[in-house]
Amino acid sequence: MFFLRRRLFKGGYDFRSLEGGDYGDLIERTELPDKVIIPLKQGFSAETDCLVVKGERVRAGQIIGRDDHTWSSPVHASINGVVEHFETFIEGNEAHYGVVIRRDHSDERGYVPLPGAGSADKSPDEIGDLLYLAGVTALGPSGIPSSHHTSDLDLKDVKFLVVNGLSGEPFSLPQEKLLYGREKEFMTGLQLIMRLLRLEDNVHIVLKKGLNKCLNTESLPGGVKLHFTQNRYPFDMAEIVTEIATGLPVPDGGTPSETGSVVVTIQDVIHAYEAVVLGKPLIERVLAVGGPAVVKPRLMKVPVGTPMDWLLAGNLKDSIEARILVGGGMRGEPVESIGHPVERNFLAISILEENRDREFLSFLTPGFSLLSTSRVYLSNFFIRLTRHAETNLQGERRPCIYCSYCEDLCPRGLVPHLYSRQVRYGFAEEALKFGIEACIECGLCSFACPSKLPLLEDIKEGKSLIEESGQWSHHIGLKKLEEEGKL
Amino acid sequence: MIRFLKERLHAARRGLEASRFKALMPLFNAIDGFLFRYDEVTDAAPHLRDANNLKRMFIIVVFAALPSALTGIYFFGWRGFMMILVSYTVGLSVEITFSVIRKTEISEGAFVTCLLFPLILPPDLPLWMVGLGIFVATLFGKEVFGGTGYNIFNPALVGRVFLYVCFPTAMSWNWVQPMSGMGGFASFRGESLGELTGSASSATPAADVVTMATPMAAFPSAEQLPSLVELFLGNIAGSLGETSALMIILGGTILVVTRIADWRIPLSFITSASIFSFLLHLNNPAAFPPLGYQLLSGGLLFGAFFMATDPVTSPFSKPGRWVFGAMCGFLTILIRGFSGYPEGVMFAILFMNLFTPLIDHLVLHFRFRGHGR
Repeated sequence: MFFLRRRLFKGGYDFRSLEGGDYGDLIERTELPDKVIIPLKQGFSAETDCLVVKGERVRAGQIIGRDDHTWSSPVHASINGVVEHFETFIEGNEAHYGVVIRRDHSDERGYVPLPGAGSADKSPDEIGDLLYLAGVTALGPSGIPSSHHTSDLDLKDVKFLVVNGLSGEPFSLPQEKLLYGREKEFMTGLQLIMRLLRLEDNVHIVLKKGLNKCLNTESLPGGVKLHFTQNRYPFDMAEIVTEIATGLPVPDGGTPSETGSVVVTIQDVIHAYEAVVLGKPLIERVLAVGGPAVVKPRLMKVPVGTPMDWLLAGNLKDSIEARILVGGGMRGEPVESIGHPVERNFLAISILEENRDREFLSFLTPGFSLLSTSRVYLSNFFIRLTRHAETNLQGERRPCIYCSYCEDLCPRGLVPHLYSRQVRYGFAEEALKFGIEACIECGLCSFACPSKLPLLEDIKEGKSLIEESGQWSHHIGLKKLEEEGKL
Repeated sequence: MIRFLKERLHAARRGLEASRFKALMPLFNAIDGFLFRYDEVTDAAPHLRDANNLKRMFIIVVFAALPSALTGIYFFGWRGFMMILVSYTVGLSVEITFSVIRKTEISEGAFVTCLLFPLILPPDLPLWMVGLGIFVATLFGKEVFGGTGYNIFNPALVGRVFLYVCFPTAMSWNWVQPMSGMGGFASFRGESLGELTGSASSATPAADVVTMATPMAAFPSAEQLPSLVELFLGNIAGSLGETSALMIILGGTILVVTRIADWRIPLSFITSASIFSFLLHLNNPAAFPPLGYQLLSGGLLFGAFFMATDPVTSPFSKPGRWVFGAMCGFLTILIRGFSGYPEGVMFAILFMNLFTPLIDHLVLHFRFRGHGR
């Protein structure tokens, strides 16, 4: 009975024409910041051992943190300068360290090239070594496998390579913009990663619908398949991209690496090209800086470790209380301080407006600029209108009225309001029978709820309750590594 | 001006919190929240929120029901407006009292119930009965379960079924003939405004108040069935807001287009009612009126668009909504044909409300077979 089945690849929401989401062309050359802070733990990697001491002169591209015994990839100085001091970050319960480098004005744009790099004609092991030394292997949701300890996936278990070109999340980096004029680099990079992973076929590139001319299909290496899909959030999440590309469902609550898939973005592939062919370590990153609270949304290429206050200087709207997020507007992580550095796996910084304004009779407005998934505002009938995304709750919390908007939007065919109720009334384990473990925590249910219920928080709580009871384990792959003490 | 109001409200909140009347906070919050948007922001992912909220959803239901309400006033006089007013007064009082007792916020759902309830009553019903009905509807239909969101039955229909059982004569056999021309906008009830104010001049002749039967009730005797055009426009005797199919479809379209009502329920309701009334009319034309009369008369359209689509009391799963609507349509035709009651929509919807949890349970059971079991 097909209509009773769980619907996959349905749901999702196209966050188009948002205010502050219209990025211009890529700004290749920005000025260099006066100091950078290089965290010793960046991306899919454990904290590396620091190789420099205070007062030491370092050059851009020089490895300053490396540990070959843990699951990690080296980190590099991103500008020429002197190690000024070390800084401590508190993330949750853990403390991490960062190296602060003050810029000296010598040889502004040069970098220490990787040894042995220079051509695309390399053996798989050589490519692996170069990507490891360049730090590229720490990219992607669970790293790129190599002969070093860089991913929870073993090289021999790799079955698929998925290139994620989607950007459905509000204010996330429009990946396809990095392709313009860099097709060749992308192709070469892709071939290098394919050779590293020893993949002849089962390579998938997922792009937005309508970008058919973005890549020349004839120049694609054999075995590479192009997929075009709607640019809906959360189809850009690794779990769903993998499913779209490979057709293999990611196990409920698992990661793509459990299906043998390596997921990278277009930017990661270009980094691989730069590392192997140009010998350039991962010291620069393209970031999307956008959101309703910025003056002009920009795509910027900045050195890793650039403090965010330097990045945002002059681009924040005055008299607005801003919320700065690393990542997109939905799942982004709020930064502790505005001086937090850019890390090598960052894709976007979204700056939202904390709107506490109490609008008069707001529920009677025609709503030409309001963002809503249902059709109660006029903005839903004129898709060209620019819409304003806000952090305001937009209404009082009320009991669930079973409107099932959350169910309609759920990309995994789940029933968020049911789990929320089960968890709140103390039957979290009951939710396991209705597929709570398949939730990928995209947050669309909380977003759409007209009763303003914290559905995602309830689901997360339910999952942790179930996990405590020992009936199910979240992220089995990562768990394994943690238990072995490798991450 | 608005800023002044905002500041006054802010000061009043402080004053109320400190005073003895702290228990009245829900009432104050409701007024405050009605005038000004909430100022809280998200504290965790997802950081953005949909601009939709329950106030917006329910105000659109009110807008969607307005054409029917205005047509009711047009056909049956300002008395209809008085019924709506009584309904709001009594219904909101109950809601506010319960919110204060329970220390919860006042729910916007009451605004919808209090408007829809008088629309499904005979226009000549004594006003005290309207008040009693909405009292029962709000109290026993909603509040005893915990308020909007927790009720099992559609509150408006609970109130109507109560009146129906207690006052069968007033509820079933006293129907007013609709007015024409300037219609009800110029008169109170039957008698014109002129008569009401004591002057003798009267432009509209007094309507026949008691002898008219609705097409539904009249069918078995089949003396004077109105034409289908009259049924469509609503120029017939019937409940206050149920007569004009045109206006109900207009309001229903608003609900369906804004996705507040799921299109599956009205579609399956009406389709199933059409199929069964067509088949049963072929089989037994004495008990079952022809298709057009079944669809356009009585409360079928109003029930399908406004009553059955109440999200709280209808299934949340999509297959469940198809089943719910189809069963409602089928039961309506059955009850109309075989029972002693002329109208079956109310009983059909209430009966299916009862099965809503079961339908959802079965759908989920099939959808998540093999999960954690």
